[in-house]
Amino acid sequence: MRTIRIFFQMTGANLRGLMSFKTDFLVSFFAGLLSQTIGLLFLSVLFQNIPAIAGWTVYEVAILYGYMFFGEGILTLFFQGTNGLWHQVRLGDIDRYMTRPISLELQICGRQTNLAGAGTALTGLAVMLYSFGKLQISWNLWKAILFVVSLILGAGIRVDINFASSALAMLLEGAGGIKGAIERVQEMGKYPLDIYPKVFRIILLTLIPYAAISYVPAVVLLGRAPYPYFLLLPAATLLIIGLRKWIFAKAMERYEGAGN
Amino acid sequence: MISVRKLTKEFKIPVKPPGMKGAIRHLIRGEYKVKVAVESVDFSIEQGEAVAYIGPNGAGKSTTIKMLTGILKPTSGEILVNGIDPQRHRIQNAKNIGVVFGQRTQLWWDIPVEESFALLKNIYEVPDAVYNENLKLFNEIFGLSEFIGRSARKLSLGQRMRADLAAALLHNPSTVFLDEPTIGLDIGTKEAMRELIQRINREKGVTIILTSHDLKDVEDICRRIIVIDGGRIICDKEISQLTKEYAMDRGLQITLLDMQKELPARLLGQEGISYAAMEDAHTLEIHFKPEMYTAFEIVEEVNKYARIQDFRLREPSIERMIEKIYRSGEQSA
Ligand SMILES: Nc1ncnc2c1ncn2[C@@H]1O[C@H](COP(=O)(O)OP(=O)(O)O)[C@@H](O)[C@H]1O
Ligand SMILES: [Mg+2]
Repeated sequence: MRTIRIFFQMTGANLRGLMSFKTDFLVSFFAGLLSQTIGLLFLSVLFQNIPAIAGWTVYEVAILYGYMFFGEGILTLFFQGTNGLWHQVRLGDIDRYMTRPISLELQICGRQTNLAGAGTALTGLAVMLYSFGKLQISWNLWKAILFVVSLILGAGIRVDINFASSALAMLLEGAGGIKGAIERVQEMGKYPLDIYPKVFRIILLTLIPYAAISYVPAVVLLGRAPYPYFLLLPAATLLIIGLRKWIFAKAMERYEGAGN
Repeated sequence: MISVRKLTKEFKIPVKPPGMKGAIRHLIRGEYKVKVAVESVDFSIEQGEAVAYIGPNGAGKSTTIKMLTGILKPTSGEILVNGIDPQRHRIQNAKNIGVVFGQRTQLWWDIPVEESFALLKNIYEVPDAVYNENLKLFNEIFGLSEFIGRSARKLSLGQRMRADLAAALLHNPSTVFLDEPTIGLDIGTKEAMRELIQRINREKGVTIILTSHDLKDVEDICRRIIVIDGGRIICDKEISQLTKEYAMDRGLQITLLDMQKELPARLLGQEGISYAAMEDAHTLEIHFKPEMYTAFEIVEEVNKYARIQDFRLREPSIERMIEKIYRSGEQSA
């Protein structure tokens, strides 16, 4: 509880800090909106040439986009600090966190707040709600609960993948590009899993579970798979949390300070 | 109370030959070079002491402080800070200590200092009464209210270090570690920092461990000096004790009218003269035992060989004592 309170106090202070630059504040919000809109334009152009991808229509694929946008938005808005751990090592930030009586993870997460994420997350939500409407999904209480749960767990997975890959780069002492490579895999979460070879499908559901963010809840909500299929989402969540904790612990075990 | 036993820190520095081939070889063979930064260090510090931890660059001061504050894991040896192992119980230890690193700020860059303080108040669970009382004290000595509304990014170095020291003391830590806290500061800020550190040490009995290259910091704040060189402790004494030992030698600086190259050698041969050297072409530095000579006798002695333009007595300063400690440390090493 105390952890959550301190996290929100940090985020609040970050936001107030951002607000002192009023134009920046608005510009970054709309930049978030705009960049995702460009992604959607790409989607609509794609579907002008082909009627469906692996049997998925444009609004169905748009739901996958929406999930990925939402996760990215929450990551950018509240958990931007999980980026660039290796950089934080060299800046001496980690040294500083270690002299404070709260967890390192909390301080890393609360380090930075970026309002562009609000624009991104809102675009994601809007795309999903609009597409659900177009698809005339029949809602019931169960589906509504699953939808909310999938948004929360999905965003959590997104943050944990980011944290884990950032910690991996820290463990490998900045090993160029590893974080960026994992980051780019997220594009694969925007399309139905069925189009990928089997190895990729397994990776996207376990080690780098972007498909658990989007595809897993979408197939259930769209009625393409039975309800129990949804359980892949909490399973992937637990797995990535474990993975993130393990990699971060390894990185901290090897930690030798900021150097000089 | 701090106790340190046989504390050693080795850094493994990766040996990476240049180029892709080198990187791959490093990955496979995992070659490392070992750098011993701190070697079998022992000391203990009682609650309320003010200790200067000094030594030349690269001696191992910061590495020791980082181990005491839980940032670095010792390679071997034992540390207890108020009965707590700072590495194993990082959070427990962090509650009792305050830390300032001169080169880096402990504050959040982008948020107003005021908000940083409010955050720290919650993080350390500081009661309102303590918080307000401390802010009042810091304000009195540091004039915090002038810049407390600005973010750390927008402060001058002097203001930032004031805010930094205040932030480290907000929660009434029982032990404070200061690593080069006055580096690069203007005289006014240095004075204010010294005053606050002195006050919390004398009035609240806070333990102070300070590293600094400015020996005025040491003189004003500390009563004990631990000297480290090449990772090893070469001296650990009360300053009053040191002054007694080294004050036995007095120093004179004599300006000569003519060049006298062979003069120091001639003087050094005499009993009771411990040091003699030309600082530059015309300035002779000479140290002597006060029980054997008066300053005037020395001047007369020099006057036999050279014409004297000017002379002055050199105070036995901490700076000169430390120079001598380094020199004798090198001899014994
Ligand atoms: N993270 C590190 N990795 C490798 N070597 C280090 C690291 N930190 C310090 N050293 C080395 O250890 C020695 C002691 O450094 P340090 O404790 O910073 O000295 P001081 O603070 O007394 O100037 C130096 O030779 C320094 O280069
Ligand atoms: Mg240092």
